[in-house]
Amino acid sequence: MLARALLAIVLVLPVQANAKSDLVEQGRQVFLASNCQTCHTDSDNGGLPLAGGRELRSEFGTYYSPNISPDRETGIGNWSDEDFIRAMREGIAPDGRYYYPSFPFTSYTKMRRADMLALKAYLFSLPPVKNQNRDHDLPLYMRIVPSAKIWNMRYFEPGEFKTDAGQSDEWNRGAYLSQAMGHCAECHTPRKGLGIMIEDKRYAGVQELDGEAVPNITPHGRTGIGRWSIDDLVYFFQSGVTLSGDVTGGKMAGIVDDSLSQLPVSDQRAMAVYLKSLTPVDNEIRKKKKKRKKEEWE
Amino acid sequence: MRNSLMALTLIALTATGTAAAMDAEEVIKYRNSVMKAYAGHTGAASRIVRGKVDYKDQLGFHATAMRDISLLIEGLFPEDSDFGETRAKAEIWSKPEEYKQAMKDNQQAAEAFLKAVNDGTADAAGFKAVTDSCKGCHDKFRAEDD
Ligand code: HEC
Ligand code: HEC
Ligand code: HEC
Repeated sequence: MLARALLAIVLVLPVQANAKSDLVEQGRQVFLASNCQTCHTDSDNGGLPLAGGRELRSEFGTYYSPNISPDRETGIGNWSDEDFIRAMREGIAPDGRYYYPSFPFTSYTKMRRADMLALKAYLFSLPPVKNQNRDHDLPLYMRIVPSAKIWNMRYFEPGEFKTDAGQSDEWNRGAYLSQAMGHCAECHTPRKGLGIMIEDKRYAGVQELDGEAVPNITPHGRTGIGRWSIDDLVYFFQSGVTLSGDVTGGKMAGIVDDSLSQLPVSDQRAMAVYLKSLTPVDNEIRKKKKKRKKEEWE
Repeated sequence: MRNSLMALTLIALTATGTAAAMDAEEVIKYRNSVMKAYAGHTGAASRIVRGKVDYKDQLGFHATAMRDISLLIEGLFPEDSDFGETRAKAEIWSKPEEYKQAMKDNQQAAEAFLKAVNDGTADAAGFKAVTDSCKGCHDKFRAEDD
């Protein structure tokens, strides 16, 4: 909590000094809506904002997020605009290496070019932090074959968000925020082998993602958010309080604190409108409590 | 006479019996029921605070219950109640100072909110201070994984 508060201060201050720049301010909005800082800051160990090094565990191994501060040696300070756009749009590094989809470029690919450039301008307005990247800790089979490249070529389709002319501006804004920035589907959609999203269960929740239950956020009455009103969703984005009065913790608390609660109400509403328009999927997710036995030595 | 005396002794015995060996599984069930009640009052109060319903006269009831429950939490996590079906994290017991602080933040926020309700000055920000203190504790001490 304290780390987050500090982070917020550090992230906000430099922009105020720079308030003239509209581009940077636009980039800050993109940055908040896309929640870049949670993954790229090792807040559990007092890491500095965007200096990377956060441990991200997954069933495919442990990743360490890289430094995305504008430090020229250890961060992305030497990147050109095109380098940055290629990474976000295609998941490919300046040196041609393919990124693992633990970096949700799979969602960010939908971001508009102008928003990507604004985001880069914002990142480059922040203080550079020196912090050497750490190698991922991946199983041998993933290291001996170019697994990220194969995955990218086989399963990934880059492309910008397309406005749906049949829907309202508010809906389109909400869809864009949820898909291209908030990357909600990355956690809320179940996957089959190799991490492919099950399309007809988009947003229908996951019984277990890294040990955590992720709820169904399609508007299904019994198993999803069907009973939530648009205002209830907006209130959740602002406070983390659910319809039952529980208060979210875990991964979603970070998203509420660092991202959703920081957005203008119009954006919060747009996302709620979008979620409520999804096709309801009947998929019950139960919060499980782990049964832990007392060990001999305890 | 003798019967009622026996009954009394029996009650006394069973009562101390349970206190001494409260079953961890039962403690966990009890504490989650209390938490659910906490959520019930929070959810209800939120709908009044947000102006969704016009039961302002009942806000004091929920605010009092919330303050009272915030004071109960301290006793709900005895050592050894981290085994069983629980999302309580080991840090509750390994970082007792931090956990105390999380409980204290919650108590203070709930107390301040109750006072504001009684003074007729309650607002959304004061209520959010309470739910933020729940979020803060859940974020650190309620498991997402084990
Ligand atoms: C879910 C966690 C997560 C989120 C959210 C996230 N990233 Fe990352 N990012 C990663 C990981 C992990 C990698 C490393 C991937 C690899 O090495 O294959 C990475 C890599 C990168 C890289 C490449 C850095 C390099 O040195 O090659 C950039 C740039 C980047 N992220 C920027 C962003 C931006 C900007 C955002 C927000 C729009 C963002 N990331 C959000 C996890 C995340
Ligand atoms: C990093 C993974 C992750 C991402 C990304 C994510 N969520 Fe969540 N979300 C969760 C988890 C886990 C929970 C359950 C938290 C809990 O049990 O307290 C949750 C809970 C929720 C809930 C509450 C549902 C309920 O029934 O209680 C809503 C609504 C929600 N998320 C919406 C969103 C939206 C909108 C986005 C995109 C901006 C999003 N989430 C992105 C992991 C994620
Ligand atoms: C000081 C820490 C702390 C505070 C403050 C706190 N909680 Fe909790 N809460 C927990 C822990 C730990 C658990 C998990 C307990 C378990 O599984 O044994 C929990 C569990 C819950 C549950 C799940 C119950 C179930 O049946 O699974 C709900 C609902 C809940 N809390 C609501 C709230 C609300 C609402 C507030 C604030 C108004 C709040 N809590 C404040 C620590 C806290």
